[in-house]
Amino acid sequence: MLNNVISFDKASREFVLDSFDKAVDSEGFIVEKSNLKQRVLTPEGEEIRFEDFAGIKKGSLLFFKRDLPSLIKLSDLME
Amino acid sequence: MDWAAALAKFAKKAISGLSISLIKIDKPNFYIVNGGNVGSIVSKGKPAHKKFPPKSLPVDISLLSKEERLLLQKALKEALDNEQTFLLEDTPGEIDGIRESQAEPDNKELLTILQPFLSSTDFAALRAAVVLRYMRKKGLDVIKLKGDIVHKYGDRGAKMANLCSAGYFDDAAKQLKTFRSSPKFNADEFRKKLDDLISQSAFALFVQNDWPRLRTRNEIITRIRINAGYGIHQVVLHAIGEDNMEKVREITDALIAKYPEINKAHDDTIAGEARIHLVFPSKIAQKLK
Repeated sequence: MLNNVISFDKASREFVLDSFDKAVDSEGFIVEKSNLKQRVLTPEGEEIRFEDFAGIKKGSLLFFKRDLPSLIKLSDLME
Repeated sequence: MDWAAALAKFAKKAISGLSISLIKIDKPNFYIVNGGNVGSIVSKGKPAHKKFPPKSLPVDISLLSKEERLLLQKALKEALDNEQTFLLEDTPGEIDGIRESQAEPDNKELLTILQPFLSSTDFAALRAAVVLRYMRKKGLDVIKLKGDIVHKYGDRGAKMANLCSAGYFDDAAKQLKTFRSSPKFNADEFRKKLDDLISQSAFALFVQNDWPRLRTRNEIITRIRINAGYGIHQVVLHAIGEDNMEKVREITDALIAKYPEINKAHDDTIAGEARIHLVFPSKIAQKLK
């Protein structure tokens, strides 16, 4: 069981992103609310589709996708 | 503002009317929801934690006013500053599964032994392949996981996932354990051997479920020709799935009947996978049609 986790359901994704000043652009990518042309990147430099959004971790502000390699990385960072 | 106290305050709205006091949970895991789950549970009078992981405390944003939502968002920011990680539902369970797979003693040993001999990308791909194998053994659907590996690591990642599931990396690790203390052991040679195993998948052919019979036969013949050309007088055919196993066995039996030089050294079914080991002489390359 993971510690220090706040879970959220799919219906709350926009609310959670909005809490951290992020929005979703017309193509479905997560962007900065203050600059809709600036897409948010994963630690590996990949753009994140709203549908692939898995979570946020401290470390400035790290956003993660929901694919296996990203989740392995996130798991390592949560050790 | 104490973020946990703020979230607990908002959670009260979501669980009001319940006979049990979830608010008293020590160090709860907060769960942000937007209607649906909590309401239906409350209306049925069942404990709210039934649909949530143990020790979860739901915060339903659909029940909050605009002002309360802003306060909640402020609390969430503070929570992140206090080392809380935000994860989409089901993701915590997926991360638990990943950790279980990497901590399983055989997998842990495999990864530890081979890490110094793989590039960082190949090692990352092997870790993902180990997760896939672990989930498959647990009987879970791994189609998405395989797709994730191919998307990230390409054809090489797909080969590594196949080789890992078939036990080739375990064999390589066993070999390494046996020979690494020998004075003749050469780390660079072993590195190259691993690279050859991945890039050429030299001894193996992974028969895919969606290959029609004709393609399966052609792929087997091509692999035998290539191996014979390199002086490798064997191939191991791997097939997962009942129909796939039946298909590959029928095709190999027909090939053996037509070309008696080809022999079946082994034909086993291991953990739902057929492994058919064929041996053949070099001259077979010219005869095969």
